[in-house]
Amino acid sequence: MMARMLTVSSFIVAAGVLIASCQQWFNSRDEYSAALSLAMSVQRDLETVMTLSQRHQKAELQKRPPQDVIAQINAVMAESGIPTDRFESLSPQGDGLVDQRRSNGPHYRRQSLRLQLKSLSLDEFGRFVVNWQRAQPLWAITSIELNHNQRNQDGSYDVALVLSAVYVSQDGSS
Amino acid sequence: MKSDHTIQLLPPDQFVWGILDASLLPRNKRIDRKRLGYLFEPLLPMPIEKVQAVYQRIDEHRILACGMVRVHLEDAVDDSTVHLGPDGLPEFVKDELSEKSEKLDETIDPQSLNLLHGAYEPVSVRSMRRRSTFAAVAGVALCAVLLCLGLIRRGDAYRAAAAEIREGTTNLIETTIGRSPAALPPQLHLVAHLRQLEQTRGTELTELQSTDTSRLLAEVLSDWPGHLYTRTTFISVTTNAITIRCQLPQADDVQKLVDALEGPSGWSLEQPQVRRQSEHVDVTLRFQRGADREKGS
Repeated sequence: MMARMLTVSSFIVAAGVLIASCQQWFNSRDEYSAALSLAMSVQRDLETVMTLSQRHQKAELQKRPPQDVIAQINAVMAESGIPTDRFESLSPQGDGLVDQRRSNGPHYRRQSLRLQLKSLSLDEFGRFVVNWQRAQPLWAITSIELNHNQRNQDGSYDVALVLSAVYVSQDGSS
Repeated sequence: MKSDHTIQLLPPDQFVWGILDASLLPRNKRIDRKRLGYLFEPLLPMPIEKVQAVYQRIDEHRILACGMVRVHLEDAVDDSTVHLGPDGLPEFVKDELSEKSEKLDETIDPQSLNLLHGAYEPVSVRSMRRRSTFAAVAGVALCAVLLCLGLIRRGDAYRAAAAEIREGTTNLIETTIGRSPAALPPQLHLVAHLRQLEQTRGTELTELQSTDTSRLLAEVLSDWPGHLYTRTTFISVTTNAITIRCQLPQADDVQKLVDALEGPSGWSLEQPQVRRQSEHVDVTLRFQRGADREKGS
């Protein structure tokens, strides 16, 4: 009787240990499968990252504060050899939701700023535009006004530019 | 079994016999000696407790019972006896059985009836059975241990491989896009980075981008007639219209200017507005985005 109990107990213990080992093995295998699946997913994502990284950026991640843009304008003016006192003003021109064909996905807004520069020669204006496009490709010049400066008879122009950039809307509301 | 073990086969008249009706007992089950003892007891001249019995199924309804008074049994066996049983069947049992079974000898082997079981089981047999049981248990335990070890090793290998894959994945992410400045987990950092790229570099963004009017202005100015004296007082370029106001010395120059300026592709020039002044001519040219081109004169 004792031997039988011992035998049965041994079988029960052995079965329990086996079940626990099997469970551990299954858990480990699931962990391995999950890691493999994650690695494949990461590889796909990284390939997409590489593809997208080769493209030009077309939108800002967020709205740029005017002070930031002023700093960029000053840098481009300096690069173009235009004295900083020619800068007159930078003011918000508009900020609205962009019409999109696709309703799903992120929403975009277009931020516009009106820049006024005074007494620029055509050469200075041309250098400014070229350097601006190179330095700030996301900020398109969507409107140009050149007014002949009546005060000075030196052939200079007062310039008004509208600079626009698309950025990702965080809330999607208009 | 050792050679000094003895087998005792005694004549059938040394035993008590009975044929039990087992039709009331559950079928296909192991013979329960206690229950069968109750069936056997009415056939005995003494209580069943004083008899050591052994049973063997004859057919579905009958069981052969063979017993020996315990006192006699204890006298008959010694330490070396491993088997005590009849050397044949009594006549009345043979007669009884032969009426219904033609193959009695094949059904009942009298020498398989061993009364040395339970309390009378020989020590050597008991110890051998215990050894066998222990060997079986040990074998099962050994198999279980080996299986467990195998499973644990395979599990460890899986976990190690998973850790290696995770580490490799993390390294790959950090090598490709760098560490997260916000100390995000690498996978989350990758998802956030990918989302940013998709939002800022997706192909669908091309149609959302604004027209760069500086290129329109450059196209217009590239056609500007250098030989013609003009004084440009105002230029406005928007995405839909280009307006140029200038002063020309004489009215004939207006047509020369209009002929020279083609405007951007896909734009059309509206009728120029000309105003004669005392010393010059004021001209306003306006290009409109449109398919057809109509040049003024």
